[in-house]
Amino acid sequence: MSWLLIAITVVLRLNNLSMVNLNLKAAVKQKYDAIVVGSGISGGWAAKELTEKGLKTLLIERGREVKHIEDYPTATLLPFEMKHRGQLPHQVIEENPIVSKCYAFNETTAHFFVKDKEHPYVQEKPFSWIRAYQTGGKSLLWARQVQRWSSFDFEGPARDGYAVEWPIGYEDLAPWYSHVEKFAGISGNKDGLPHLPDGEFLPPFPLNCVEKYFSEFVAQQYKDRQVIVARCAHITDPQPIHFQQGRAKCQHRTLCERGCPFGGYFSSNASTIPWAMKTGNLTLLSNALVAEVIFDEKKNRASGVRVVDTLTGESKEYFAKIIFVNAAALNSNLILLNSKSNRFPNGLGNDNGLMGKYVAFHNYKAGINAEYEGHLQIKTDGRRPTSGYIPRFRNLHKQEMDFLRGYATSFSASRNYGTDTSDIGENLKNSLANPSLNGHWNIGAGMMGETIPKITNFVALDEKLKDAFGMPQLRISVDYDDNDHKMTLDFVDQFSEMFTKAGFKNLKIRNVNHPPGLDIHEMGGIRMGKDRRTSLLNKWNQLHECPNVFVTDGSCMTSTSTQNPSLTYMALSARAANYAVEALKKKLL
Amino acid sequence: MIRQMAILTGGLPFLSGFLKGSSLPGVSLPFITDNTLDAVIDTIIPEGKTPGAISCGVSDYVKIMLFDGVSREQNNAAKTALDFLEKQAWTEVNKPFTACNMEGRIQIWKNAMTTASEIEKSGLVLLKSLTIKGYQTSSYFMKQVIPYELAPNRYNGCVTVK
Repeated sequence: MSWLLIAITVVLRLNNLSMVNLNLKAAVKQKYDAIVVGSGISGGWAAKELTEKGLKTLLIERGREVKHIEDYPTATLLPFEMKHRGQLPHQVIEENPIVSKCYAFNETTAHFFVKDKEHPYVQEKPFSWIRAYQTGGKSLLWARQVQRWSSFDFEGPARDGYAVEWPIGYEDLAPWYSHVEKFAGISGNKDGLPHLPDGEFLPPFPLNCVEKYFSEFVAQQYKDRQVIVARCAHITDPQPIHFQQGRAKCQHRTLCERGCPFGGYFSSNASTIPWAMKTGNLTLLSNALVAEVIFDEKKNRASGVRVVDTLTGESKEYFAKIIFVNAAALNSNLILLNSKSNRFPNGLGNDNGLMGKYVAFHNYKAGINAEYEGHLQIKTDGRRPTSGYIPRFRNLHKQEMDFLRGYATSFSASRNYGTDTSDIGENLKNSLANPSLNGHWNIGAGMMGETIPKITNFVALDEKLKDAFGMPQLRISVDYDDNDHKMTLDFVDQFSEMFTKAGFKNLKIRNVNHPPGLDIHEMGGIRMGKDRRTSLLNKWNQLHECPNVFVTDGSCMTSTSTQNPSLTYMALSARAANYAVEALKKKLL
Repeated sequence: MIRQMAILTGGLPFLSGFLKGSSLPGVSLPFITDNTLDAVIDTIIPEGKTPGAISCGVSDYVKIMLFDGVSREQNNAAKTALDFLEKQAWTEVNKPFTACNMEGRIQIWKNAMTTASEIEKSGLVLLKSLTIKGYQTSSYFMKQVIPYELAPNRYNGCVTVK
């Protein structure tokens, strides 16, 4: 037997030696077919499409690796299993004035958020930049709302004379919306609205009785307005494609931001990344900050990326035929602005000097709460991971207000239980054990307004300040404008009227005074357009001036419309990735 | 001395160090405060036929929150409130709060709520709200009183109230 052991040992050692040699060679020049920068919602989609089509793809994530299920440490914890019962220590809040403003930042989720000191930036104007650096990025934390854009949205800038004309229309993106919806699993109702097109829907979550009442009331009183259930990326009726991903039906836990062990909602972690990994074509590189895209002056094309290992500080280079930049809107701006060469002294592809400019977001400045004393014989049971939704109705068919564009609105009604906590002792204990239904419903609505991209809303590299990895700090100069204020007043006016007419009482206006950013819908800076003099990307999301670089996250957005943007990023990413594969085959890249 | 302490504190476990800063101005027996806190928690949601706040582990939660879950101002308010309750107890019945029976503690609490200064009252309100939250999020409450469903797997929007 001993000879056999020796033989095995020798073979293993030889194998190890050959592996070492291979690794040494690989260290000299890491080459792939494609590099995707960022593993969030758009990067995950780019990686999935590219690997499925056979491209050896390197997916680079600046944060740590977070594996589906096994790296969701709080997913199944009950409150009493958490030290502060879900609340963060006061010192954490004090040390993180920015991220602490985010509604989802708490003891159950804090490990998925970037803390303020970890990545400093300069607020030329107050801006709350919410970031998540790990596999999956913010796709673990998002609100999962997925409303399609319509032709009214893509045609907006051309019709109303702001930003630049989109180089694509709804018809270009519609098949890609379908493509991503079928895979991701989208719950929704086919409402037949031209300004909020239907998609490939799994069964919808229901509106409750009071929401239905308001929906019917609004339909009667306001012919231009609809109250529907919001479409969301939750699996309500799993199809074979979802089981193949290892995902199951949403269990209505509404603890989504902790990571879902059922894969009930869409995230890169649960869906696109493991799918791409199964092809055998994906390499995931974690803790790797992309500092710049390398431009090869001789070949006149991007050749790869320079990466800083965030654990060791070591600098490495990786090379590929095509590069997808999906670092999230503002970080993609940062990377490309920092990608300077003799050919591109102001940032890769930035010949017109517009990179970083025309940043926009969504206006969440106001909400209204109210009470409703009807339908008291009704309550709800269970939980629902979405809400009602009222698509944009202002300036839809033509310009009719004293502000441009309009707002969508989230809307919900809930019947809560209450307890009398005025006493102490046995009386209080009995009261807590016997809650009673409130004598009213709670009503809530929140605006989600389109903002107008402007050259004065921009991000730029700070000339002196750097972060811990030597990257220039990003200067953010983004603010509301008069259009936003007028739109906000109109929202308050219209919903006050609608609520009052519907019999809702005790209206309370929520004027939100926080700076932009907490919508977490920042967009633009590397916008798409038809003209290379006024935009950075063409209709396939390629940099006009460096076509083997694609940008398909929020930074590519020419305008913002009112819908939650992630679904559009997914569709744009899948579309661009498939174009890139075809272009490579045809040797166009 | 140990026996005296046990009598003074009504047999409640001696716990220390939950408050930021160890000295309590105006209280000659600073060690009482931890026990006063437990007594207050016990007064707000007492033991009885069903478990009260103390046996549900609320005391540990409140101490954690006072230690690092609330602001320094809130911590000071809680400290001031406990101090005030002790003073009131001595003033009203000439013995420590912890040595009073439940009826007496409730009366001292209610009197304190009407006579306390703004900061003392804010401390009393904080202690009460932490006790209620701790109780409602305790294992006993969430499993046996009003069971919490981690995965309800349903949403019915129109259920008739019976």
